[in-house]
Amino acid sequence: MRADLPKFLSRQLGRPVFSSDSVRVGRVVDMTVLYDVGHPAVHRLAVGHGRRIHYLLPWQLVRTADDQGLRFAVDRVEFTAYASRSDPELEDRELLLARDVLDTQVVDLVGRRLSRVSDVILVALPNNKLEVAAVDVGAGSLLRRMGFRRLGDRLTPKAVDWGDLHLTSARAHTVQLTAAAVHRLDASGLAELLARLSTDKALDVVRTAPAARSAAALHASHPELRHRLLHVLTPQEVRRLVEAAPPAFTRLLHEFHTSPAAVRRQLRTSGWRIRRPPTPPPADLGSQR
Amino acid sequence: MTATPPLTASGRVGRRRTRLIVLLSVVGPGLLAGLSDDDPPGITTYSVLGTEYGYELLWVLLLSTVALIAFHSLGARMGVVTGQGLIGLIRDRYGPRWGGSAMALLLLANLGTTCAELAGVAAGFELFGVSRYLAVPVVTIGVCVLVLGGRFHRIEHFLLALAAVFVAYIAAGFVAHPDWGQAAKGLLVPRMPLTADAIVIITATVGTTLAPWGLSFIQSYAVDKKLTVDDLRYERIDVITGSVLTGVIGLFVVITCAATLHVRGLHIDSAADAAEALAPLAGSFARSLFAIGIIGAAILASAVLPLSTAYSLCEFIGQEGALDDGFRGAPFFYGSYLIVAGVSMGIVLLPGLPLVAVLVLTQVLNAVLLLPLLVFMYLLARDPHLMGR
Repeated sequence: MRADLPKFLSRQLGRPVFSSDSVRVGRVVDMTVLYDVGHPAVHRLAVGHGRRIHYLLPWQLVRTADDQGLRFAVDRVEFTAYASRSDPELEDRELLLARDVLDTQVVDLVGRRLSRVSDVILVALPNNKLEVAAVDVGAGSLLRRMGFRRLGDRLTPKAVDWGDLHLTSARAHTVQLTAAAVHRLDASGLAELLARLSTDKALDVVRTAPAARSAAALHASHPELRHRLLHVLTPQEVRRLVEAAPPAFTRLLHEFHTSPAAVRRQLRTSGWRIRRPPTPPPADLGSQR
Repeated sequence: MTATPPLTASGRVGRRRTRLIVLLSVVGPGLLAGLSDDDPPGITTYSVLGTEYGYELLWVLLLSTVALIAFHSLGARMGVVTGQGLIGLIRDRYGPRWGGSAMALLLLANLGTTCAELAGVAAGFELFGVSRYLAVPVVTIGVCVLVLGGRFHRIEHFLLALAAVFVAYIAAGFVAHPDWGQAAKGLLVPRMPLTADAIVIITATVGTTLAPWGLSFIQSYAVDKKLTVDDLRYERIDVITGSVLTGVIGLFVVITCAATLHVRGLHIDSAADAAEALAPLAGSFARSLFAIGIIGAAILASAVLPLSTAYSLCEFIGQEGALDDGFRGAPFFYGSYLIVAGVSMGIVLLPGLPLVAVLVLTQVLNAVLLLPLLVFMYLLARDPHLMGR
């Protein structure tokens, strides 16, 4: 029944929602997933009007989904048990796909670039689950959502696997840190990520990842980015990195000094450029845990 | 509890020196965004304000300077906290239709404003007898080579040095021997004739000072400088410095025209007219200073505007583009810059094109776009998911 669900999240949003007694209770406002580096299944549906969420219902309660909309296995009265604030209380690793992923900036860790999510690609599984497979960062989905459907359909989607992403929205960034997603990145991946995040978010990553890998990632980073981040870290945090770093990197970390002139030069030259890692780190760094 | 030991004299000097260095490190976006607002359309508006109304409407400049400080500070803060530029943030929170509409309007307004900047180049050089068919292509190509091929920190220094030509307006103001008492009264006592023309010129003055592209520019630039919340207090000083300088320069343009053209009941259509009219009244030196100011302002803004546009476009589409990448690495970013600069140059060089009409239309478009952008900024700034609680 659910195999005919639209492929893109944007086509799911706004679909009418009915209770089991055929009362229209609203529209699909959003969908949640429990964040995982693998492909997470849709966990709950946010139902409401406009952008306001009135109910959060488990996906398992969807009985049918067709061209007319989604029909739930609970009646109108039972819906009240799932009432929610418009700013819903989410579980620890729970993300709202429309709010926290759609149209937000993401770092494609394999393609090593900063992109923006044009749509979220969902796959209906035979076990009645709807799984997040990837995000589309192409112009086709963007044009289609802007109302240029014919033009958008001509362009092929640029899909990036969900597991190859770092989401930068406030909630998603925090969830990924607590879900230890950054622990799975090697030094090279971490260095690429640091180059594209704001200073505060990059510091979150440096503080969360294992010290040895953070040190290796900083070593692999562009010198000016490295100086920028080290300057903002506390002396205790720098010491932690120095202690965990292999001897080859320790020298580099010790070279760092908080000279205001060095920071001034770094800030002066930051406009409209991305301080990417100059060269890939040695192979043995990536495997350090 | 441990008491903090008192600082020695050398310690205090060292701390002050450190603060000054840190301040200088973040100075840039506010100055560039503010001073680029004193572009040829801006100078034209201020010239008309001074010529038609004398010192009477100087308070409008004070008002728009306060607005400039408020919204540029907000833009810088939003950039630092969210790590995104304005257009990207609008798409992020309100979807691609609102974001696309804002982007389309900004693109159109920026294209028109770039035309107006290059028209300023043409008018400025023609005051020195240089043909626009030589001056405009040379300046456009020169700016493209500098911005796309050079190291940006040098370009930033070059642009800031170029902004020094605005001193020319201050010098022209003193040469014109204004009535300082009347100027002070006009600045501090709000009054206005209730006519449609006065309302239009007041709107145009606020619109030209608080330009939409300046709002998107300062936010994007604060993002790329990777400033932190701790840097914001210094960034605020940068914004205030840039905004106050912008207001002071506008003030001197108005004063110059009020002291010379208004008292004789003259009328002008453009800043170049003002420079020409100044020659017999305040001498050829004042005319040259005014003309140099127009050229400098035009070059400064025509370098920054296409860059800001290309950056906003990349951010909206989701393309990664940066000045280090080269054309092959970031064809969309570089292509956007070249298209905006090239199309604007082509339009300005079209024979018989009414440049004043283009300039006026651009100001109207800027004013139309300004209001929704300010509403978006207000809403985004109140969004706890973006800005924290």
